[in-house]
Amino acid sequence: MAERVSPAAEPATQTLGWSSWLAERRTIFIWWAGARALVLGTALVIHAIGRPYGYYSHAVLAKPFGALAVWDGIWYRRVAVHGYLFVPGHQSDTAFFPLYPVLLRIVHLTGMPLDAAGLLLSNVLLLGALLVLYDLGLALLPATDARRAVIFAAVFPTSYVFSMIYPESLVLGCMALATLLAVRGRWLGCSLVAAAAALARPEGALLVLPLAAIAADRWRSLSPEARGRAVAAVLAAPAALLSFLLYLGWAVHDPFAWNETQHAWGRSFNATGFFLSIRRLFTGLGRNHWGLRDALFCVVFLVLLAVAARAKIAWPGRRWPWIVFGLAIVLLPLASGSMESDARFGLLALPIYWGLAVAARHRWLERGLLAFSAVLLLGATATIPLIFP
Amino acid sequence: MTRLDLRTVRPSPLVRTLVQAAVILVVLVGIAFGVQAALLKVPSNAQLVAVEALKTLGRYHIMDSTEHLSARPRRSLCFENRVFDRKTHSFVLGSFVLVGKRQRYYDLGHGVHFSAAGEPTYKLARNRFLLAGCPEFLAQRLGTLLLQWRRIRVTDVRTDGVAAFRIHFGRPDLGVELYVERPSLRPLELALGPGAFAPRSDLEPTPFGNRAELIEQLVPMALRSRLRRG
Repeated sequence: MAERVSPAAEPATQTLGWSSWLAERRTIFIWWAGARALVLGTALVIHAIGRPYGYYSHAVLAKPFGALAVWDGIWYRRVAVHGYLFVPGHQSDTAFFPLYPVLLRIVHLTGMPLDAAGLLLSNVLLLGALLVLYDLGLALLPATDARRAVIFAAVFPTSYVFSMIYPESLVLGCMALATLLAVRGRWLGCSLVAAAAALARPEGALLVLPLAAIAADRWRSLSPEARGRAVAAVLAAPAALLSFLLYLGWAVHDPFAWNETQHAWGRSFNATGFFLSIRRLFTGLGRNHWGLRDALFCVVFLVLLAVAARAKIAWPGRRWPWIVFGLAIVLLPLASGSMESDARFGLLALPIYWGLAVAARHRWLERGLLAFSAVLLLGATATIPLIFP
Repeated sequence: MTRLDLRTVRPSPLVRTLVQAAVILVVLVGIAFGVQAALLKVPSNAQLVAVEALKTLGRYHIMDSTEHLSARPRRSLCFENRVFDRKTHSFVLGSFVLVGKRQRYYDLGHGVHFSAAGEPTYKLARNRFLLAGCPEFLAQRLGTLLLQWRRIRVTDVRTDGVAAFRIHFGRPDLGVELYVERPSLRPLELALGPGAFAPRSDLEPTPFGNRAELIEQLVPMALRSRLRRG
């Protein structure tokens, strides 16, 4: 006989559900707030003392959080306000994917200034991304490891980018949510979120790998219709890329404007690009020490992926598609002939956080790494004016 | 006679899977396209005309022009080629100009150099170089103005009896005006500012020319070994 829940008892149960949900994630909220306070506070200090000056103008440093609103943030704001314009041979804004500027525009329509809209959006989206990453982690790891992975994501040395007017927090959240929905067999929702990830950054298209692994794993248990939804979810990200090409064809009369403008931005993918990026790193050592930062983080990401590959993780689907997904995010940008920004790109390789969580199971190591990460995060935020993230 | 009961005819599981996937993907592409189309502004017709005019300009490598900077019009010739830059260890755009018979100017991306005797000021030399209308150099400068300022004015005009567009790049009170033929968008005239008294030049672009002869005429000896071949 089915039990009936009395209507009077329902709200109390719900309250209990919410409070336990919140209590379980309290640490995540605290680390998110703490890490963001560190980043935003450092930006305020840069504004207050007007240093380091770097590539910034007085106008940038005159704004309280100006340090977080520059570099690519200027271009995302420009797309939000003016839309795309492609001038061949120039660093045009068609190099920037559309979903983040679309969201910027929506928030801006409420009357909020664009800078504030971008900062609010990025930081709130990061909180959402961390919560979803935790839920995804619970499907792979013990709860303590899942929580540790999220805390490391919040305080990762280059995670200051999650607080800038950049789409990284949006993509991180979409990637985690798409795979979580696939794990739960909600393929339609997964399709939408995977498409959103690919519309926010090109790395989103790499979701094909883990989603295909999950779909293949569940294939036998799915009905023909569910299989159709699973196939659609796997192909949703490339389909979204196609929609971007169609849009560019319609709006700026050149469907390949994204690819063409990459040359002007110094990123043209070719077979020798990988070797060229390594050669450039060594030839540029005397002149540009910042290249070492990206190279160092590239190595750290690879080590963390190796740790994740060896660890006992209940990978949804199979292990290797996830590792290849991470490797592709970290290594594919090198095929453009430059290691520049790899420290930022690698932030989207979800398995690195699980590798970090597994590697730091000892309490002393966890505390040491968190403290070290926080110090590096502070330093990295303070040097935003000096180097392109 | 047996009757076919249509209710019992169902597509195979594979077909059902593929149809389901295809429908979802088509809807998804439609939604994604719709979101972009609904929420992002598209470039104006004037901006698109300007972009097309710059593309057309960039297709030429040699520009013959007649500048009207001083009382006496002067003929100038521009030739463009990639030059090895020792600072960046890469090939950069080199624009070489000959004004009259002796005045040579060139730009490798670090400002205009000139080697003419009795040249009064850098500003005059720069204007003379700009009025030579070096196609790729000009396309780069005007493209940058277009991306920075976005606001662009395109007016239907007639110049020397030819139907043309006057495209104003940059600030309304300053900026640069490029006149292009309608509808081919071939460059006709360049003015360094609005108004009838702005320095201007008539342009006559050419896609190809005698390369060896042009190098001999226009490129300083010291730079010839750094030119990219082909």
